[in-house]
Amino acid sequence: MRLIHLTDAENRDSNVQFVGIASAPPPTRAAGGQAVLFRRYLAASDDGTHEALQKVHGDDYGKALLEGDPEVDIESVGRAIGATNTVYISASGEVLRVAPRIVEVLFGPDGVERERRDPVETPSNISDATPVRWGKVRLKRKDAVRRLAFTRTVQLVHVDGLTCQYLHGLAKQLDEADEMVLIGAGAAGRDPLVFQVNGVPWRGFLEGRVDGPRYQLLLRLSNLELKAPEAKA
Amino acid sequence: MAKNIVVAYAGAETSFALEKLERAKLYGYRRRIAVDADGRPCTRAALTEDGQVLLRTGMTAQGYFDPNGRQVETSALTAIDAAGNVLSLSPSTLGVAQALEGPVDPREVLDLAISSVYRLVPEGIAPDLAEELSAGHVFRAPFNYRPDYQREVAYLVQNDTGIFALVGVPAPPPWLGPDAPPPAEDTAADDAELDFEMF
Repeated sequence: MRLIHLTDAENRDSNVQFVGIASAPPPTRAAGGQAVLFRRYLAASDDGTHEALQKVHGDDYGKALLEGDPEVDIESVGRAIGATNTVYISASGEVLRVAPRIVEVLFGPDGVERERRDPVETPSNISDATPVRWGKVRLKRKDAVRRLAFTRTVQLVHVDGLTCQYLHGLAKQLDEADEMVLIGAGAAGRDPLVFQVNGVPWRGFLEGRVDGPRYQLLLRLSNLELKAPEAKA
Repeated sequence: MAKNIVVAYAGAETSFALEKLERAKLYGYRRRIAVDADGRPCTRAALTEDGQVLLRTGMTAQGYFDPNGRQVETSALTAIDAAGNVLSLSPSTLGVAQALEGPVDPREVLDLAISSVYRLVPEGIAPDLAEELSAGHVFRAPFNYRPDYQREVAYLVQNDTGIFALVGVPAPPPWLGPDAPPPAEDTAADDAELDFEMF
């Protein structure tokens, strides 16, 4: 399990664990009442790709396919493909022997390219020496669900009796106020949460629930506001 | 063009045109591309672990196979639950009036594992429903964009900018107590985190 370094409203900090919330797995695909396996397989060899066939038989190679099955290499087609390694092919068709340069391209909401730059590496910021802090923004639950789409949730989990008490207290405080509090990373506690290197930056709201000695302290994560896209000009 | 979401509330039907809401449409997006020594974009390919086959675009396919290794046609596919019971196919709910339930507790929405978000444009909204939604109440209806073996749920919410449907499957979190074992880790969520196309 991974850790998050968290403070509460009184700046009491603690390192606690968190886990993703598992939703029920989708139904298993089957045929004739038996589960089936999904797998990737080799459908054409190097000589059977569109480009290769076009080169040998011309643009209209349909007749050649019907008459001679040139795209089918009996020795290799149908072979199951397991784990693979990514390789890059240069614009001239050569396999690169050294790692390519990576360029980051930014596009606007209209799909038009805005900028090209060297990639900016974003480190994780949830388990730094500087803890994730409670912000000033608090939303009633009924307002939060109408403003943001919370597409991911992680549950904060105690590691011992003291952290159980700590997390239960936070959950109780939020539950009684029926509020969710925005938490942020960085020195000012305003940065979005990044869970791993180059991960998605999230706005995180803590939500708490208690039932006697039991509690749920949930970090609701959103990167999508509920609002209409701007109309295209 | 997809059919509309049609809901029935207090004896009146309302039809909504739907448009998928995505981050890219609101904020734009970023993409990382690999370039060769001349600055021209590279294409990605895959090399099998034994190094024998270089898989370029168009060389692979995917499909379902039975335990004997025979490929199963998509039309012959069904689904079974965890106990091995064959499930029936739920039809698409689009274009078919679905009874709205609610108002519901906002905690239900928070416990939804959201798979899609739609912006809804009403085509003549029923007055009772308009009043309830503008008062901030949340409603629930069965939802399937296309026929599926899993039935999803849509929650309808309204704010100052419009009406939205949050679609997904319920994923209530477990309660934790002093003696409770830690909940199981959802490892699938870790994989979803690796997304280089977000700001």
